[in-house]
Amino acid sequence: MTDRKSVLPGTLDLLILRAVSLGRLHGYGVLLRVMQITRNELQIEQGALYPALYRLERQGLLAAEWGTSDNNRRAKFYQLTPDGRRRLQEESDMWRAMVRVMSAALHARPGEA
Amino acid sequence: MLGSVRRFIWRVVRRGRLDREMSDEFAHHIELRADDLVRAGLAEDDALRRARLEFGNVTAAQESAREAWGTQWIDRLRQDCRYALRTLRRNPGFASIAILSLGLGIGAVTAVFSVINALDFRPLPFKSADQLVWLAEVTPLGHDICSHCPFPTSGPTLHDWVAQSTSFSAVGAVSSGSFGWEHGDVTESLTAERATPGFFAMLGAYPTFGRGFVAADTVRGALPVAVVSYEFWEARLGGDPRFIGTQLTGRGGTRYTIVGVLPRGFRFRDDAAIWTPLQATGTGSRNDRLLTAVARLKPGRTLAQSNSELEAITRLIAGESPSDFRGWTVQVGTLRSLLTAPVGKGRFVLFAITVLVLIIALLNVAGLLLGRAVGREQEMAMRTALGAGRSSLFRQMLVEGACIGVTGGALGVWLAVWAVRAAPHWIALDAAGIAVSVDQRVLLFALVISLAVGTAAALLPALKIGSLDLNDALRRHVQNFSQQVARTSNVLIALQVAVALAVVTAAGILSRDFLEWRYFDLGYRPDSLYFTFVSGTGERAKDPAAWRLVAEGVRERIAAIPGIGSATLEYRNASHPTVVHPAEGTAQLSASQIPAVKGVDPTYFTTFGTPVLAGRNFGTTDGPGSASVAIVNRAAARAFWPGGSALGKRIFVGDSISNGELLIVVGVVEDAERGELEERHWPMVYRPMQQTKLYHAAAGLYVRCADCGNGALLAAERAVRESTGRSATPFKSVIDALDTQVVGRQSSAVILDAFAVFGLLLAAMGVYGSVAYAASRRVREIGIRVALGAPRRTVVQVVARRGLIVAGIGVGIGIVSALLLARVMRLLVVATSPMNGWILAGAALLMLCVAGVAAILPAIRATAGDVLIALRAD
Repeated sequence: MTDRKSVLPGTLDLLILRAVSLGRLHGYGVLLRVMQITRNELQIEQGALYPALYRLERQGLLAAEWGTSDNNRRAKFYQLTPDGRRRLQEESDMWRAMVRVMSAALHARPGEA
Repeated sequence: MLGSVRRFIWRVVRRGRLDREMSDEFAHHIELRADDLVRAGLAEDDALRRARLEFGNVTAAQESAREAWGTQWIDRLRQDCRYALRTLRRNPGFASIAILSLGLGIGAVTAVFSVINALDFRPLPFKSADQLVWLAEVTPLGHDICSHCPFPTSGPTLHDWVAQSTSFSAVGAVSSGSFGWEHGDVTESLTAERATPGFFAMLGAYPTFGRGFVAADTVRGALPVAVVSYEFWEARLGGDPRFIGTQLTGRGGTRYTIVGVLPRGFRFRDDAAIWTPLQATGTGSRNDRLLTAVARLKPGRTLAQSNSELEAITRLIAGESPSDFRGWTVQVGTLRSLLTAPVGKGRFVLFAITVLVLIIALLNVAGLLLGRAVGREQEMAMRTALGAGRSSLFRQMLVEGACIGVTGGALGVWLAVWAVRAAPHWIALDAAGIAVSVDQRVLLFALVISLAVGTAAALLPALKIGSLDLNDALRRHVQNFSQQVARTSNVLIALQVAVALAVVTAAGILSRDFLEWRYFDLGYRPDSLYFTFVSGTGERAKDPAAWRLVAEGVRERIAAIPGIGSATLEYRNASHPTVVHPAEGTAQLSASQIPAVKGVDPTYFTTFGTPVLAGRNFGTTDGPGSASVAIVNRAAARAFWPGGSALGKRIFVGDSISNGELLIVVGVVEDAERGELEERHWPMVYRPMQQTKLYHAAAGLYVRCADCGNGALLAAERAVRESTGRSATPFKSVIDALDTQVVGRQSSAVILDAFAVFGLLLAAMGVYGSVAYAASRRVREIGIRVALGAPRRTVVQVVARRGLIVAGIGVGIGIVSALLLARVMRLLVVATSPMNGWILAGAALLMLCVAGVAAILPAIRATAGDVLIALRAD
C-alpha cells in the first residue's frame, strides 16, 4: 500500500477514458476499474476523480446519464462518446510513442549512440 | 458555438441542481466504498470514516468540480456584488452622492437616446418601412427657402417619373394644406393632407372603417370625398361609424362625403385631421413644386439604382423644359430622412452635451472612489493577508463601480421614462409624427452605459490599489500611496473643470440660439398683433391689378373698424425666382445673403412697430408712376454695402418673366421677421405694394388691435368675406404663432441650460470634494509647519495655492477647449449667437472659488486649532 505511486500529471484523464472505454460506469466504478487496470499500483485521490470526470464531460469526451446502480440507488453513469473514443486512441498512441522514446533514451549507453 | 453558449447558460441556470447532483454522487461513492470496506471486514462505523478519509476534502473536490463546469465566475461575481452592495450600504453618504450623480447623468443620456432611437433606429410605423423612399427634387444654390435641399416635386414631373421608372412597386404623393371646416357660423381651419389613391395602401395603412381613395375619386366631376383621422373622428365626430357617408362642409361651401376613417395612431409627417384625394396630373407647370412623392422600392432594388434611374429620367425632362430646372437636381432618399428633417439635428447636439455631463459625473464618482481607496488601503491589505489575490481586489473594485453604475442606471431609466413621457411637449418631435418611448433597445443602451460608466469610474482607483504595496500598507506606511493618489486626483480635478467649462460654453451658445427671440428684440412688437390671409376668387386671381384694388379696399375698411389700431397688407415672394443684388459694386453674395422681396404698404412698419433706422418710410406718393424705391433691412444693408450707407444706393431685382428693374434704397429698417426664426437675420428688401408686380391674388393681412375686445376681429373677418367674396381664415395671434414655433426651442434651451447648470454643479461638487480631501490629507504637514514656527497665514496660502493651481490648470485647459469647441460648433450647427464670454468667465471663476474655498477651509481649521491635534492627524 505504502509504495504506491501517485498519478503522473496529465495521465488521470487518459486512465479514466481507458477505464470507461470498457463499459458504462458510475464514479466509484471508474475508481475501481482504474485500480484494477493499474493493478492497484497507482494512488488515486478519490476526490480528484470527480473534477476530472466533469471536465471530460464538459469537453464532450464522456456522456453522463442518471440510472440505477447495483445497490438500487440513483447514480450517474459515464460512458465514452465517439469523440472520447477518438481522443483515447490518440492519447494512447502518443503515450506509447512517448514511452518508447523515453525508455530508449534511458537505456541508451554511451557506446550505442 | 451557439450550442456551447446554450450549454453554458443551462449550467448557469441549473447550478443549484448540479450542486445537488454532485453531493449525491459523492455520497454514493462514499457509501459504496464503505460497503466494500465492510465486506473486507471493517466495522460499519470505521468503514464509513475510512471511506470519507480516502475520499479526501469534499469541499475542495466540489470547488474544483465547479471550476470544471466553468460557471464559477458567476458565483464569484455574485459574491463580489453582494460584498459591494454591503460596502455601499455601509457608506450611505458616499453611495447616494455617487448613485445620484450617475443616475442623473445616465438619465439625461438615456432620455436623449430614446429620442434618437425613435427617430433614427426604430423601424418607422409603416409596412416594410425600409423599402419606402422619398423622391425629391433638390433646390438650386440660392433658392429662397434653402440651398441644395430636398424639395417637393410637380405634378407633371411626378407623372413622368411614375410612367418611366422601373425601380418602384408603388408611387404616391401627398400635399399638405389646411381644410376650412365650416360648421355652425364658424370656419375652423384643420390641418389637412391630400393623398393620391393608393397612398395609404402603399404605407400599409388600411382604413379602420370605410375605404381609402380610389382612382374614381380624382376624375373631373367626381363627388368630393374625404377620409378622416381616427383621432379626429373620435374627438370631433363622436366616434360613430355611422358618420361614414355623411358630409363635411369645406371652404366655399363644397361638401365632402366622409368615406373612411384611418387606423388609430396613423400619422404621416403632420397631425392631419382630414385627407382629401390628390390627382397627380401630367398637366400644369413643372415649376409648381407642391407634391411630396413617396415610393416603395421593388424588392432587390437599391437606393443608388433608383437614384440613377430617376436622375436619367429627370435629365430628359429638364432637357425639354430647361427654364423649370435651372440648377435643380433629383434625389431618392429614405422616408426616414423626409420625416426627421423638420426636427432638425438638435437631438445630436443634445446627446453630445448629455454625454459630456455624464463624463463629469463619471469623473466625480472616480474622484470619490479614489478618495475612498486611500481610506481603504488597510481593508485591502487585510483581505490580501487573508488570501485574496491582487486580481480579486481589482475585480472587487470594478464590481463595486459596476454596482454603483447599475443602481444609478436604474434611477436614470426611471428618470428617462418620466422625461420621455413629457418630452413631446418639450421638443419639436411632433413635426416628425413619430412616437418616442423607452423600448428594449433603449433599456439595453442604458444597461451598457451604466456598466461602462460604473466600471470606468472604478478603473482608476482599482489600478491605484493594484499598485499599492500591501505590506507597506499594513504597516501604515501609506504616505507614499496617498501622494500618488493625490497626483491622480489632481488630474481628475483638472479634467472635470475643463469638461464643465466646455459644457457650459456649448450649452450657452446653443441655448441662446434657441432662445433668441426671447433675449433679443424681435424687431417688432408681437403683442396685440393678429394676422389672416385674404385671397380673391378664381377670376380675380387672373387679374392681379384688379385684385390689388380689392385688397387695398379690405385693408381700408378694416383699419376703420373701431378697436382696430391699424391694418396692413404684406405680399410675400414679390419676386420669384429671386434675382436680387446691388446694382453697383461686386459684392459676392453667399446663398444665405440673397434677400427675399416683399411688397408692403406704407402702414406696414408702423403696424409692426419696426423702427426705421435711416432714411424714410414708404409714403402714399410711392405709386406706380413715381420712381421705384425700396427699403432694406439691416442684414441686407450689411451684406450689400458693408461699412457704407445704404441710402441712395441701387438694387437690381429681377424675376423669371421681366428683365428686372433697379430700385433706389430710401430707408433702412431693423431686422424683423415674423414667424420663421431662422429668417431673423435674413436680408430683406421691401417694395411699396403699389410698385410690386403681383403673381397671385393673395396677401397676408396684419392688424394691430387698440381694443379688439368687442368683436373687432369678427367684424374684420366679415369685412374680408364681403369684400373678397371668400371667407377669411380666422385671425390668429402672432404671439400664439410664435409660441407654437418656439415652444420646442424654448424648452430645448431650458433643457440645455439645465444640463449645463447640472454639469457645473456636479463639477463643483467633485472639485470641492477632491480638493478638500487633498488638503485635509495635509493637515499633519500643516501641523508640522506651524509647530516649526511658520506663520499661519503663509501656511494657509501655501495650501490654498496648491488647490488653486490645480483648478487653474483645469480652467486653462477648459477655456482653450471651450474656444475650440465654439469654433467647431459654428461649423456644425448654424449657431448665430456669439459665444458669451461672461458665461465662460463666470463658470471659470466659480470653479476657482470652489477650489479655493475647498483648499483653504481645512487649512484654516488645521492652523486655527491645537497644533498637537493636527500633528496627530493621519
